[in-house]
Amino acid sequence: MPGLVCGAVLGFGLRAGAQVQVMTSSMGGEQQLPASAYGTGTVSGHVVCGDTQRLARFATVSLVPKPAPAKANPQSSAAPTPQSRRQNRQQDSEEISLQMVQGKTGLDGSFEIQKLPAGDYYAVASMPGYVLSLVDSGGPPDPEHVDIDKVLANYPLLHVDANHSSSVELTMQRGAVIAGRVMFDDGSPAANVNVSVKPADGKDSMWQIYGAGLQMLTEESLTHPPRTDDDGHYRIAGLQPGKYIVSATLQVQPTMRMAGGARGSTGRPDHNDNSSPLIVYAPGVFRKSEAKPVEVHAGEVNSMTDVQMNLSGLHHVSGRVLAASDRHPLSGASLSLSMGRDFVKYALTDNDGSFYLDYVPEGSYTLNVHGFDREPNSKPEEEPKILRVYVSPKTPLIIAGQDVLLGEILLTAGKMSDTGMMDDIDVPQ
Amino acid sequence: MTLMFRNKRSTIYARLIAIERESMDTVRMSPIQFVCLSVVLGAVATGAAAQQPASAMGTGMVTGHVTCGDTQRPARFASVVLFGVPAQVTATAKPNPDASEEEQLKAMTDALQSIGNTNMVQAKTGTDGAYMATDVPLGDYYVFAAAAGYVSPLNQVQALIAGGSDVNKPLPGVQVVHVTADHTVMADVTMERGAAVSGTISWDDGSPVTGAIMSVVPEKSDTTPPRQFSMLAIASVMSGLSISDDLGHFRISGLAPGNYIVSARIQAGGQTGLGAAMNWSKAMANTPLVVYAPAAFHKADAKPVTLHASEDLRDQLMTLKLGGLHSVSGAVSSAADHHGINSATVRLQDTVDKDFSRSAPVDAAGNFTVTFVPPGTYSMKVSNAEDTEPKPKTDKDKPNLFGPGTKTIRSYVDGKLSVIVTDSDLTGQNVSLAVDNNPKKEPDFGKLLGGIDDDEKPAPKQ
Repeated sequence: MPGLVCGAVLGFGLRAGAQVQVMTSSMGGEQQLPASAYGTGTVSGHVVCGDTQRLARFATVSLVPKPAPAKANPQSSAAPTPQSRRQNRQQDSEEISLQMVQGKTGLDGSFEIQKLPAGDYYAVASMPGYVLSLVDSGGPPDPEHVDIDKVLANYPLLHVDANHSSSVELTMQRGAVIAGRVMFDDGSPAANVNVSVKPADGKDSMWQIYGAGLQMLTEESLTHPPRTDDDGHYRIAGLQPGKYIVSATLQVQPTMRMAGGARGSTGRPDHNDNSSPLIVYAPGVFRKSEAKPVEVHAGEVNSMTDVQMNLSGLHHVSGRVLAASDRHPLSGASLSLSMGRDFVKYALTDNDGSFYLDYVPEGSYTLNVHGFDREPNSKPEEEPKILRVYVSPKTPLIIAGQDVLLGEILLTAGKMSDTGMMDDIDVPQ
Repeated sequence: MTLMFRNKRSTIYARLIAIERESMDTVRMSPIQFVCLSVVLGAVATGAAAQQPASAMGTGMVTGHVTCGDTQRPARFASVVLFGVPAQVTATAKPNPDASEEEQLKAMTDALQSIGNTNMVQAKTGTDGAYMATDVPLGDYYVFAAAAGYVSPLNQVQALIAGGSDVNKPLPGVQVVHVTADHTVMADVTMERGAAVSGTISWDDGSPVTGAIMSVVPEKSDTTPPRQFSMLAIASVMSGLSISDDLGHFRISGLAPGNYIVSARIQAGGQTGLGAAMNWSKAMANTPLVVYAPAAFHKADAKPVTLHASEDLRDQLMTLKLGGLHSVSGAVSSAADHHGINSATVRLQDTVDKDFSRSAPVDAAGNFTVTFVPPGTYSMKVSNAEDTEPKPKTDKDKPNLFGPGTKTIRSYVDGKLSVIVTDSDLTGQNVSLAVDNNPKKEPDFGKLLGGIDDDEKPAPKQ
């Protein structure tokens, strides 16, 4: 039998990060049995590899519904509650609820996706090594309002009728490849390091721009986090032509502990438990602005993009954070070291208020410190209630030639509203 | 902390999922154990966030250096694993997929318990190979070190057990430190370069197989380490498997010397996804196709590779020939009124090769198709059959990575059928099932897993 596929219905709103919204209920009809949530249309066809003209085996076929044209917002005179807002969003066709159906091709490159609700769908075929040809919808990245019609303009639009079968032939284009090796300055390979490529024009990854929804079009990102092998080699395929910045992310000090049995748990985080990873940009710099972009043309293989991790010129910054009023140590205070939006490093203080920011390149930074007094007897499984907030003015800090011992940093109590500040920091991914 | 990591949450999920997959492969766990590990990982991930007072019993410190045995250089950013010497080690029973639900539940509880008893501290070395593990609870620890390309802790234990070591005595060759209150113990570790096997996996027409999960298993698979060591898998995930790239290339490193069978897992058809796409029982029912090198579906037909210490075996070719395989389809219905049952797992178990099975879920109308079945004699089992309906939505429902809930209306008894596959697809393998009036309460995997999907929720109790 040709590619057996029973497309299950994926439903989720296109929102930021992993806020996957479940929205199958909007698929109309009675909802007593799951069967009724499915339609009766069918889409079948073949997927071809554009470079070899061969039929593609086990390629993923995604059908993304064309959003309905926008309607005027229904009457909502009352102040919007979260609930009514959600309902409104559900009624409002501008709501970006992406119902995606996915199936796989079989051995002969054919696929058949059944039980589709009637409507118009964009058909997207994807496979590792082939390009996912999304069009930048322009404007600021906003996962809440994605113009599906624009983003998927490169893909065919199919009309599916109830009880009818439509067919489509899809061709995938081979993507460009960036590959190379990540090495330490002593010549040894940096193994098991995450490597990422991002467009050099500053546009962030597809994940950030389009949210979780379109990320699902390619399973590669989930199943294949590009990492260097034991010899430091990496390979990232399926890229659109363009200029890219390549970065390698070293998890510097994650400490993990499990304390079981009767031995008692300490559960206390080490000072480095929460320190940020070290990001090095090709060919071997710590600042994104100094990175050398790599340009690839359609289908080109660039296998010479090495990243050098020069760790010898790095320093650490340490000190202790205390409350100015009575000099009690502020544990769990957050520190960030930033250079514009270019380099951000953060850490939390230990139980005695001490901190240790390691692997900091030389340069002029701004140091930001926020401390908290937390309710002492809150249950360990709950986020402790914050009683008092401490802030420091932004302090310039120049690191050159040696490690920096800051000694004691005294913080004065500030406004409670300052707690959310960590959200504002742009953490490089 | 929650504030801090909010925008990284997605990455954390992706990583957790990756780790779970990898661990599952490395340890060859049953689905139920897999769920346990997921839950524990969730607990670890969220539990680490809670700041708790140091234990009243005091803690010690362990420091030292890690050296690469092959280059004699300091090992940069290697993981040091202080693994509490288990008080008692029980022999591992092979996961039995045919076990009754009580047995599986007991195995699950036992596994959770032994994982809960695990005492483990993991630290990383710096550029000079030095490490420092602080706040180590008192007791005896094995000191392992792990880095990509070097023999992993789990592999070391596996090799020792395969070599006949008594797991209830201290493992020979593995350093043990005794941590006492307010003292610092020194422990230097040298990592042994592992063997590596690399090559290409392609279709019978020569085109590459992309995205296949490649792993190796020891030729004799009775060397699964006791479950008290199962958490070592976390420190061993980096090298035990590889995903074939866009050219079909793979490379698996960090192996102890021995005979191995290379295998490839391919998700052929079926569904992967999060959110509403994730139907846990259906996802578990759709098992990947496992192929053994150079081109076999049964492990007995595989050709093992022999790896010597730190050997780099290259250019292994593996071919996927799925042409001679067939599908088995049919319908699962109620014996009473013949309506299709919308939730069930159909599993074809090879009667000769107990390790080989293919399975598939039923669709909303009760129809199923088990794909890529080699010729052979199978026992077909229909299990977990239920009429279900979507759970009514409530305002309390939060977006859930693991899909919307379902409500069971009624359960059915298991069904069995004997199936012989020769040279063509089989259709009409229909099974009618009687209503089960005393269904056993099943563990709710979705609920168990729900614990890790939301940072706002309190951490599971440890």
